[in-house]
Amino acid sequence: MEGRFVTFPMTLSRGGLAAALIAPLLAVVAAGQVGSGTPFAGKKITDDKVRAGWMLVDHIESGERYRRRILEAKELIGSEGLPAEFWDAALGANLAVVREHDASKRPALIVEQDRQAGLVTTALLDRLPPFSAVNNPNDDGSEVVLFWRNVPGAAQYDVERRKLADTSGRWRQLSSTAARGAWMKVSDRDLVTRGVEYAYRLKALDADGKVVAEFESNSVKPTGEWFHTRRIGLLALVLIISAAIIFYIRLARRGVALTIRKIAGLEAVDEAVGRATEMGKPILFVPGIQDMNDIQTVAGVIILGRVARVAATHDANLEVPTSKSLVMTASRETVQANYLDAGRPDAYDEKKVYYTTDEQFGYVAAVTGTMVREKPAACFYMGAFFAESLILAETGNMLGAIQVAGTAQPAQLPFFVAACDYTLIGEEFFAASAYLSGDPQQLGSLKGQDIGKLVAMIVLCFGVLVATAVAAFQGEHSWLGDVQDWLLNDLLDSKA
Amino acid sequence: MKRTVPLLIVFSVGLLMVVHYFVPFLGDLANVAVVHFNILAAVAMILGAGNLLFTHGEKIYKQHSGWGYSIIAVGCFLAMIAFGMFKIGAPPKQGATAELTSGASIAMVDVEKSGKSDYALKLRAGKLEPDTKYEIKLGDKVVAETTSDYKGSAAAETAIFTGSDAPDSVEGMTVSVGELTGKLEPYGAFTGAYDDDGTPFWFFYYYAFVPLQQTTFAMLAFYVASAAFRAFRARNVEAGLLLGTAFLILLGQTFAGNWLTQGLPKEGFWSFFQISELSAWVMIVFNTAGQRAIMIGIALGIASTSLKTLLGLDRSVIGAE
Repeated sequence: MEGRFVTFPMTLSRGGLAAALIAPLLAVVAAGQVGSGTPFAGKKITDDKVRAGWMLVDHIESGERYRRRILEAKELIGSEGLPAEFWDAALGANLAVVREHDASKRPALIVEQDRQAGLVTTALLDRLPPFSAVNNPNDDGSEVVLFWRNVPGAAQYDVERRKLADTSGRWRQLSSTAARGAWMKVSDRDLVTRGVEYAYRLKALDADGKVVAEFESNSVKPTGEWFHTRRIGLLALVLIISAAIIFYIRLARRGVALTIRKIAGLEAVDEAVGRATEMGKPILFVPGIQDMNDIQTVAGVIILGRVARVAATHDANLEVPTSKSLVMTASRETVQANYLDAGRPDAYDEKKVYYTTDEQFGYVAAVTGTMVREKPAACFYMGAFFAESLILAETGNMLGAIQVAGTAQPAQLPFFVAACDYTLIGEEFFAASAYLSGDPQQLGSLKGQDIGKLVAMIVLCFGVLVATAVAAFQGEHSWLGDVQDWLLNDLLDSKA
Repeated sequence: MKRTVPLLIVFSVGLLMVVHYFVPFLGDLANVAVVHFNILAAVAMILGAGNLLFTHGEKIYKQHSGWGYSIIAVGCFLAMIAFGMFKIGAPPKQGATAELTSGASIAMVDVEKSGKSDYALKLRAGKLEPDTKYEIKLGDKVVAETTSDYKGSAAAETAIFTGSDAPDSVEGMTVSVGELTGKLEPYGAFTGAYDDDGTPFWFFYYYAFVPLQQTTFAMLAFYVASAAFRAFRARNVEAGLLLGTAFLILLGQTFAGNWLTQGLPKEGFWSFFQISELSAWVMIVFNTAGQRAIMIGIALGIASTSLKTLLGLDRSVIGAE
């Protein structure tokens, strides 16, 4: 629950947090400021927790994290809202949806879910102010979200805004929105200034344009947050893995010997280049079809450096057709540097690293044409590939070239496995640079990755255990459900 | 210096991208880096185009084998640039336009013919009175309303005439946005889109480039068949398993697969042995598990490669060792 509404102090426990969420709202209800049906005319609610209720409505409406929201709504409204049977039905419908959703997405159940959510929303709406302005959490202070209950008879709403510091008292038109649903939500985004206090006015107009109701919101000051509270779990993971990588790099620097398993695809680089040299045929290196802002292209160009060094040593002819200008430039720099390091700067020919076209199949036609004409003895495919992977690899296969491929596109791996002699699968592709260089520092980074794998395994096993326990003991409503929810939505960042 | 400056840029921009993900306060700062990359990539296109011309130009000049194809490549390249940049064959936009000014306020009004007799009005205005509602009039008729934002900018887009209401021409009509008034003038040359229907660019793109592209893509079907034939030869136990699984998945995707096992009950234990169920089970359980394992490895590999590049431990990508 931490981090859903960022204004809560981070030091609160889960129970305290729930109390912090519910208490102010109940206090407001008790004070008769909301739920009485009377207009909420600009009374300043000092606690901005009213927004929690609106956020709750928002989440229920969108069906997101439905079960938890139902439970929170139940807690918020309590027994005075609706009978226990209603909540059981709402939860039952939700659980059925959760079970069926992925398998068949049966519309009947979805409709059922929406109907129940609608009832909960209505129950909640009765206890919220008719018009509220809330600072959007976890943003840079550029958005205020406005919520209001639909006014009977209203066809359209005009929303106006003013700065509280503006002494002229002039309201500025913000938006005009047609009425729909039980509640309305409008975002005032990018037009508000961080740290400035605003008030909003809502005019409900009927079909003839006559004002039927008018509300003024609480004041709100958009604030930018220095930390995205729902990403704390992910940050912890990033820090652990980065620290492990840096630790092992430092360990390697101190001379500690690190051993890594043999990767057949990378062992084959020397063999492939050697074979091409013996046959007097060129080596073809294809760095994928993405630009330099793709990490796979970066990894591909790093491997190109190693291939270029071996090619320079063997005095082999290396050809690199690229589909992006920046990749051509980076590849040229890399190949030149490695020819220089190999002591063969004279053998470097920049014309061999050339641009063809940005178009995917135009590039395929250019590369396969080159392959058929020049019949390379070794082909390397290292980078991001899509539909062209099999066309390239099969062409190379028909020519009898030794082929080594590496990509982080899981969908393309089967094609490369089927058509190439060696395929670097996923992490092997990224490990290639360290493996080929033999540099102890870089090998240290591979060891650090292993710690990352260990963390992933622990989280995986823990998640499996929690999910199994939740299913076995029907613990959706208990703390186990909370843990499962946190793992799925906060740690894995699936809804952040 | 040649290596240090790029390394510093890589480190600072990379760090910014990471920090930005966790610090919403930074707003759009990370997008600035992305925009700079796009600018860089756009400028680099000149390098690419230059390289293309140079490579093929040399081939033609020295009459290397296949130099005739290079003539076609260079010719098509230059022709498409000319068609696009000079809008060859592209007629001016249909409709009329007006630039309305008064003091510092400015409004551009376009009344474009969007169909046979339909017109759409587009407005872009700046330096107006902030947060004010403006009426847009064509002649004496109010055709739209817009409200300026807090900076005094306003925009509007709306259909104004449809079908029989539409006049033959809007040229010469008076248009006003609040106090700003002017007359609609016909569009000048080069205002039409380079890829409008009927332009040479459109013709060559849709009747030469797209068919060629689709032909290349269609070849994939034959390559899939030849690769599958080779991959599914049952030479050992593993290959046999692969063949069996592939056969099951293929059957599961076809009518024949469902037809073969339609006699099995729809519910209960035996329903699991329906080809479609078995196929879905293999895909959801085994395939998903394998893919996720690979994805975890890839994610860690990306983290490690990014960290090495950020910290300058691996500098080969900028041409340094």
